[in-house]
Amino acid sequence: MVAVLALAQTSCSSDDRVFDDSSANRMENAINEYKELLVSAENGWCLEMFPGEKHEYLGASIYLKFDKDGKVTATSDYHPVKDGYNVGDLFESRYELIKQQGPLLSFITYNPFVHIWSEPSGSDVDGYESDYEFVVTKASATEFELKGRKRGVTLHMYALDKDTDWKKSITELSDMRKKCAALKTIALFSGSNKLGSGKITETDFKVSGENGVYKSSFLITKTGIKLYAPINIDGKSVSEFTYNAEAKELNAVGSDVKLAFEKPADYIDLDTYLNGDWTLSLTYYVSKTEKKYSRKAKFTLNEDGTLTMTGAHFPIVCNYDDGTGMISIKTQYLTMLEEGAYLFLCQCNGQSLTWDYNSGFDGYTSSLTDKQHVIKFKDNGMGVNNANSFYLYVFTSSKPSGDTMDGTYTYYKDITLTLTK
Amino acid sequence: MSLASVSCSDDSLDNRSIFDTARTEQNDFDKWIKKNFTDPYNVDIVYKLDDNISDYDYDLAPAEYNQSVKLAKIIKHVWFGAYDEVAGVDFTRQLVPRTIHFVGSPAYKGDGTMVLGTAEGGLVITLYMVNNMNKYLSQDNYMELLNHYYFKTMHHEFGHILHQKKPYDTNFPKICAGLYIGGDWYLHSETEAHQLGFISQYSRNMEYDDFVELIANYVTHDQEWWDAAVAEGNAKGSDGTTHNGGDILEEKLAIVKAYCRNSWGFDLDELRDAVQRRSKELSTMDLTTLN
Repeated sequence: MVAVLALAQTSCSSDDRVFDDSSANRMENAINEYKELLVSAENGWCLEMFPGEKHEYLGASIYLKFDKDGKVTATSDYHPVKDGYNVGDLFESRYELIKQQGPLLSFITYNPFVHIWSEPSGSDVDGYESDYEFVVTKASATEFELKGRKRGVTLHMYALDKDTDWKKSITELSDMRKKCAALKTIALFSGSNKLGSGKITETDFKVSGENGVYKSSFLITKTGIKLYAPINIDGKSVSEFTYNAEAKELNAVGSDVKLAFEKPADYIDLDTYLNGDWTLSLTYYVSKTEKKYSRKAKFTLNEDGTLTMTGAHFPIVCNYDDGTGMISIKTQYLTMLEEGAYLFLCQCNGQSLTWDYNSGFDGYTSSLTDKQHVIKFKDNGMGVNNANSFYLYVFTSSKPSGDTMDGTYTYYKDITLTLTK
Repeated sequence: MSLASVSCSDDSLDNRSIFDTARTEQNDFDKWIKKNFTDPYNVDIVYKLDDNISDYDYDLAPAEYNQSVKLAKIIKHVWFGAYDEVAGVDFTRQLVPRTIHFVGSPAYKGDGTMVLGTAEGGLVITLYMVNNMNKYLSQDNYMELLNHYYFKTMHHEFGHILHQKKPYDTNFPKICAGLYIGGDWYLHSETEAHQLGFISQYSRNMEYDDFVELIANYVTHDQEWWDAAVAEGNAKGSDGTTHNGGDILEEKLAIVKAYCRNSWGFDLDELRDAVQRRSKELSTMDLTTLN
């Protein structure tokens, strides 16, 4: 009995309390403290957003300025949907620090630059799988660590320098993203040892080699790219790369790992398009039957860098990509057949067609030998789903629309370009 | 030694309540909601998305502030205002849901279909797609869109609250007995519904829905629309079959009208006129300023 009482008395000694205040008061204090920290960053914060439970999609910089009345102003260097908001635009919404299991930073009214990463759509019911409610796990005047409430992904938010001009900085990031993506086809090196070849886009890279696949999404920095967390490449831990415009490469910070532009094996230079021996073949429709068509084709260079291909029934404009050496063909106006009959090349899937000028087909190498290089075409992902043909379609106006549709002239399927060496 | 001495004598009660409300800041819209909904009707409009009260199973996006303001003003004018006008503010206060919850995005089910609105026991009504307000309002047929996406849900749920408090005529479900098909309702067309004497596809879910769909569709449409539905219900089918769905619709509507008048003391036609007039007034209303 004496021992028990002694213990009980010891526990009352205020020195031995784990916390010196009730949990409710500690929560209240934490909320006030975090709020003060959020608001105190004069030029706001950069939230390094990596949506997805495995942060596999991309990284985006979201600039956020919190005010004491619950308003938050946001923009971002990357916005993937056409919803009327562009990178660098400012959008105001509301935020709150809420008491939940822990202090919760919640973006409680809609902000396109924040909620785009969690917003669902009919074709993608869980969207980019990020959060808009974050448990604050660490906070200081320069950095917040946030843990997504639903998905559990940890993200970081850093105070922006006082002299960072938002607009200018976002433009820089956006430009850097384009530069990195323009490398397109890359090889991964550790020192002089090539580990594999692959692709880089605006949001991620993927390289495959004998020892496996190296891939990651990335965030754009002023100088290059930054990964969500370090990855191991050939025994070296890398997390940031610096872009080198002259060498067309991204050099890992602190090691000799690099991602360097690599001309693909099937690269065709512009000169070969202009002077090579090309044959165009396709299937088209005439007199109620499908017919094969094959003729010599010729490319000429236009002032805007596009190529015009002759050899089909009408000249067709093609886009040349000097990164991949490939051409693509998009939906386009072809010619006026007669007054009030305008012929367009329209992407089609057999059921519906589109006059969206972004839709079309991308060339790809279907076979490559010493003697022949065969290019076929696949749906470029814009316009109709599963596009498989171009319809040569007549509209009653030079501005195609649902109201000016007239009728089908013919269609082109199985478009193939063969370069004979 | 007494047990009491074990407790710590220097502990004093903290004068701060640990049940402090989680949200304390009141912005202009919060104040407007208090003045226009909470004080007069004891109703809260929750436009700040909180996954605690929304459905955690869905991935949702919050409502946009400015579009929430518009929808709240529209609800006040077309829904609450119409009930006040026809049956008095006490009636409205007694029968509207306690919480109206705004969500910016639709709630998509796994198969990509969307949920338009949900109501839980007449207490909480959730309206989705609030971030489409601006888009809907910019269309010529804005009222049709608002009716479809928001108002039919509101009047529908209101109808349920009515009949849960005071039962309707027991003859009502007998009229279309055997034609209620539960969850398969969406597999059958609206034309077929009219031919069988139902005002909408969803009316065939169950008798209660049949009853409240009549209220919801009647007050959100004009007489011309109703007459067309009746005419279609009575028309010969494309295969030459004859139907009397229009007559059945009129018979059921008469029961609904009598119920509103006798059980609740309001005239359904007056309510419809008020809803229709107020809907038209939206086109000239200031939906942005909080006053």
